[in-house]
This record gives sequence, structure tokens and C-alpha cells, in this order.
Amino acid sequence: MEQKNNCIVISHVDKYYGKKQALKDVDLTIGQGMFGLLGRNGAGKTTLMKTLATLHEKQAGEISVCGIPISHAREIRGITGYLPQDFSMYPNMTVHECLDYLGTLSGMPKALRQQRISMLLKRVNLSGKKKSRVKSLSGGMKRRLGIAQALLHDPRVLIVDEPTAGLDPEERIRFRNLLCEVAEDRIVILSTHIVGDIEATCENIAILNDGELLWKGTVSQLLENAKGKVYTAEIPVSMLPRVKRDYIVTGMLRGERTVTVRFLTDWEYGNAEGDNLAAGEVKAVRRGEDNGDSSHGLLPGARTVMPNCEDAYMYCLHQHGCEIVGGEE
Amino acid sequence: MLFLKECKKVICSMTFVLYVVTVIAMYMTQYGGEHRIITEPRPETGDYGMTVREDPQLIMPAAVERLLGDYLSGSYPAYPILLYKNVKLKEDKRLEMRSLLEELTGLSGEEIDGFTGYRDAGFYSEGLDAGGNPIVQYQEAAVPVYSLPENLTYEHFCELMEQADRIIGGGSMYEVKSLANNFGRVPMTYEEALREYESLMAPGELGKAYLRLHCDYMGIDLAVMPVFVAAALWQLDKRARMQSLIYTRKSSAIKIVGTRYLALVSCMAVPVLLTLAYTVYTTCGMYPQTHIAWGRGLGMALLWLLPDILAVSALGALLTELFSPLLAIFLQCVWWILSLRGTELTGNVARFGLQVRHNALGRAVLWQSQWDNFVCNRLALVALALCCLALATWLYERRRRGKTAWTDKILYLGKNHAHGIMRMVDKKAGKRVTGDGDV
Repeated sequence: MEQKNNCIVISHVDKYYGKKQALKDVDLTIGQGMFGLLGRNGAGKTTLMKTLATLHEKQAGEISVCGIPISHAREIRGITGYLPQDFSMYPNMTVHECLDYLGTLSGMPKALRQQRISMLLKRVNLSGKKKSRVKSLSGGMKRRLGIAQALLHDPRVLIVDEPTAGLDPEERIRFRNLLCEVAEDRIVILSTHIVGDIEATCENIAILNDGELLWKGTVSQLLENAKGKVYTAEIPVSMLPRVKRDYIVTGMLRGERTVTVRFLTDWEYGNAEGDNLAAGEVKAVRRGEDNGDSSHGLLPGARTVMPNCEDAYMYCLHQHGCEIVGGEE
Repeated sequence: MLFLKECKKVICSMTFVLYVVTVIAMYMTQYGGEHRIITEPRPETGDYGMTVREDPQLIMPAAVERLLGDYLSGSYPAYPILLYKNVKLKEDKRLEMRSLLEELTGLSGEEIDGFTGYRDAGFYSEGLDAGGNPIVQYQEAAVPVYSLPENLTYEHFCELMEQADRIIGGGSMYEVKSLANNFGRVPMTYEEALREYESLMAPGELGKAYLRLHCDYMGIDLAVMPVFVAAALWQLDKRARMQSLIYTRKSSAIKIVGTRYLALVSCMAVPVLLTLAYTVYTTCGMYPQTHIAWGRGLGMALLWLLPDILAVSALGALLTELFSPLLAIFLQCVWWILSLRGTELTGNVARFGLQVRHNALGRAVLWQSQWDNFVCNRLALVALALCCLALATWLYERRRRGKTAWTDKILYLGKNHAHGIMRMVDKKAGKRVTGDGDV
């Protein structure tokens, strides 16, 4: 019971927009710490986030947040902080006024508001901007102000939807670190399609695609799943279209006449006994099968590499039959 | 305190500044010049102003003469949607009007059309005097000689006037409700003037007389301007992309919408109260020796003006929540124009309607006869405000939970339809260009 009071339990949740099903039987438990929700655009991440933030109603299933059923919206709002993907604040209000206004709407007493606002502005490095108007803030500053407003009433759950989109690398790193800090004593759900953000911050993740939960577990489990499936090879430029057609290419580094490609495949590369191949050539054979598909041909110098989170995510999508567009033909 | 923060949002908006400017402008241009001091009439002056009498013997000949004159000149002044319009009738309508005049004058159509000496009433030059200066004299209108049918009753006359107004297109001088005001004006007798004066000098009535005129003018402004402020405030969260941040706060929809509305109404009431205070101040200055009891007058003024602010704001908020701020403003403007057109300047307060008019300094007896209608009218507006507010709160809570209103679908379909039409227009325009090019 105590454990249930410290986690979000989502069981068999369905959500429709008209006839379109946005969430299909989603079943997930999210514990304390950073939790990453990964998926393509339109996968249903924002719908799930909004449902957890009481901005949408589910059609079927059960959700409880720290032991409180989601139907008790007022109570949920009291313990949840939400940073939406697309937001701003009254442009003519100052940073302090905006936070004070939102704090009042959260039912916080004046003294507590002042104390929390000062503390949070320091934490998000906006103390110097206290009296600046919101319209004068940069994109990164607005995001940091967004996280400050979400933490204002000291919520037990923080829901952050695509927070790093449009930020420069430095701001992104600062923002990710900030999220990790606040996740020490609360549940933080980070929804994004930027795999690097997840890799850098989350231990537990879930992958959504087309409203369905494809995968849930730890980042290391996801990486383990893709082990031995990621290869790199240096190929002539002329071979690139064929490679892009036959494999899931996750990286390309162009040289003068050659391209170093990083790709995913279920095929294993290795020479079978009796193969009469030139030095450096390998032949593709399907794991567990006797003969490979000759159409895949031979890739000179292909060798396995350790998967990163992006490779593992792509492989997971591929493994579940999701169509992956490799690039222009 | 949330209320004060909402007030600050209202006060800092451009629409509120616009509202204050229009309130002050309305006051200064319409009421501000009201320095008439009500004095006891004296028999030797002989001039006691004009009064309106619902007297058929007065109204019928004057209205028919004017209608005949308008027919012969071929133009009918009217205010179909507040603005002046000189209406010219098409042939079928002209013939319809002619047959109506045949019934009213006893003349035949040929006699009316054959009259060539028509002249409107006015000042005309009648040659030159000995010094060579033009002699200008007032001349009555020159129309064919006729007499009203002996058996013409006032009821039937009113029916005919209604027809005439319909032929003209509405908003003409012949609207039945305006007949007395347009054609029943006569000079007041000394006795009437004295009675009017005495009724105004009754305790509390002097202040009420000035406040009635004040409210009459300010009511015109308050029946439309609050919608601009309300629509802008209700749209502010969406424009600032702040909806989600507010929706996920703990405060209930009733608290958010209620406080916002209260702040809106309170802020808009302040300039109105200030103009009322100024009227009290200037009126006291005009009667330094008289003690004016303001209590009941101010109560009446608040009962007159506050329901306007309450209802127009609540309706604006609801329509903005339902549709869009532009549509809210448009619909309120339509209602305002229709009500302004349909409301008599003095003496006939409708039980239900947006506006109450009493465009006279005095006429207290007439006002007292309308008191019950006035109270009913204002309470109906308050009830409308409460209904709109309740609906707006319900809608707010629905949107907060991600539920759309049926109007969203209409707006969505409307937008799609508009895009479809635009595409069709573009396509047609493209074809035409090609065609021209070929030629």
C-alpha cells in the first residue's frame, strides 16, 4: 500500500479522440525518480501526459497517482506539477508576478509563496530576472520559468512534456541536470522524442508508438536488447542507396569516396565455412539459419559496435514492426 | 489575493483603457453639458417648453401631412440601423404607399401624383426688400388639399402607419411607438409646467431627475462596451498560451471564473461610479440653496447601470468561451443596435430588453408610471448575467478536462468550409487567369 502511494499506476487505459484511438490499453507503473517516455511525434506521449495532469479524461482503464484515483482531479492537481510542451505566460507580467499569480491559484498562502518563489528562482538561475517582464525572456529562460512554476507548490509528481525542444545544447544540459536534481524526492515523468535527453537522465523508460506501449524497462535492458544488432561499415558512396534500402541506417559519416555507416539489422555478419571471400569481406547470414539472403550481399569491413540509446530505441521500433523511414532514396 | 491580481489584469488591458475613454467621452459629450436649472414656471413668460401628448386629433393630421409630403418628394428619412438613410421606394412599393395615402386622404392616386406644387415646410426667400436684402419667411408645407376620412379610427390609423413603416423598411418616423414623439409635440401649458415642477420638487425627485438623464446616456455606452473588456480578458489565457498552466492548478472553476468576473465587473463599475459622483457634485453646485436627497436617486442609478455591466460582461464571457471573442463582440453589437433602435427615447420602458431610456430632464410622472417595468427589466438582466456566468463556469470546467463544446465542432467545420471556399475561389481565379492569358 505504501509503495502504491509513491507511484503512478496506469492500468489498461484507453483514450479516443472521436474515432481515433490515441491510447491503446496502456499498462504502466511509474515509481519515484526520473522516468522517460519516448516515442515519435504523434505516438500518444502528450495525450498520456495530459491525462495524468487531469487535462484529458480517459475512456477506459484506471489511473492512480500516489494512491489517488485520477477522477479526484482537485486532489491530483494539488500534488502534480505540469510543464506543457507549448506554453507561455502573460507577456506583460513580471516573472515574480506570474509565479505569484499561479501560486495563488494553487491556494498557497502569501508567506509560503514568497519563500518558494525566491528559492525556485535561485534554483533555476532566474533571480536576476525577478522583475523582468515575461516577454523579455529568452526561450531557455521561459523553460526554466516553466519548471519553476511547475515546482511552485512542491508537487510530489512532476510531468514535463518535451521540455528541451528548441533549446541550445548548453540550455538543454542545464535543464536536464535541473530535472535530475528535482527528481531526488519525487516522481518526474519526462516525455520526449529526443533520445539523448532520456539517455542522460532516466533509468526507467517506456516507449510508446501509435498509442501502444511497445516497451518498458530500464535503459540498460533496452541497450542489452539491441546488443549485437548494431554495425558499422565503411562503404563506397555508390553503395549508400542500397544500404539505406536494406538496413536501418542510424548514422552516416561521409568521407571523400567512402561513407562510414552505422546501421541496425537482425542479420549477423560472419563468414561461414567454405565461403570463398576476398580478404576483409563478410557475408550476411540470418542468425539461426543456414543461409543468408543473397540480396543483402556483402558489406566489406562490417563490424558490430556497442549500441547507444538511439540505436536501441530504433531497434525496438523495428523489432515491433514499426515502419522506419531510412532516408531519401 | 486572487481578486486583486485579476483586477490588475483587467486594468492593465488596452480594452479597459478604451472602455474608460468611451465612458468619459460619453459622459462629457452627452451629459456633461447638462446645466439646465429647473425653475418654477412663471405665468408671464408664456413659454414652458414642449410636451408630448398621445392625442389622435394631434397626431393623425400631422403624420398624414408629413407622409404625403415625403411621398411627393420621393424620399423618406429613416434610421433602419441607427444610421440615417434617405429611403427611395421602388415602383411597386411606391404604388403600395400611394394606395395607403388614398385611404388616408380620400384623394385618388391621380390627384396625388398630379399635384405639382409640392413644397416642404421651411424658410424661403420671398423677393427683396427696399434695401435689396432677401426677405426670408417661414412657409408651411404645400401639399394637395385633403381631409382625413371621418370614420378613420386611431387604431386603424396606427395599422396604416405600421404598414407605411414596413414599406419604408423600418426605423421611419411612422413607427407606431414613435408617433406621439414625432407628431404629438405641443407647447406645455402653465398648469402642466407647474405640475411637472412640483413633482420634481418632491423629496428626492430633483436628484433623480438629473440621475435619470445621466443613466440614459451612460446606459447606451454600458450596453455594449463591457463586452470588449470581457472578451479580451476571457481570451487572455489562450492568447498568452497559459491555459494549461492555469487549468492544472488546484483552484476550482467556480473560484477562477467567479473571481475573474467579479474583478471585471468591479473595475468597470469604478468609472461609472466616478461619473455618478461628478453628476452629484455638479448638480449640488447648481442648487446651492436646496437640500437634495440623493439616496434613492443613487439607488436607482445603480439599479439602472450595474445590470448592464453585469449582463453584457457575463454574456461576453460566455460567448467568448463558447465561440470566439470576435463573435462575442459582433453578437453583442447586433443586440445593442437592435435594442437601441427598438427602445423609445422616453416613456415606454420594456419589461425585457437590453436598454432603458428616459431622455428627458423631468417627466417624473411618466417615469413613475414605468417604475415596475424598469425594475422587471433590470432584474431580468441580472438573471441573464447569472445564467451566463453559470454556463461559462460549466464550460470552463469542461474545457479544463479536455472536453470540447459543440460549438468547437461548428467552428472547426466553419473553418474547414471557409478554407474549402477559398480553395475553390483560388482555383476559379486561376482558371480565369489562364483563360485571359489564352485570349
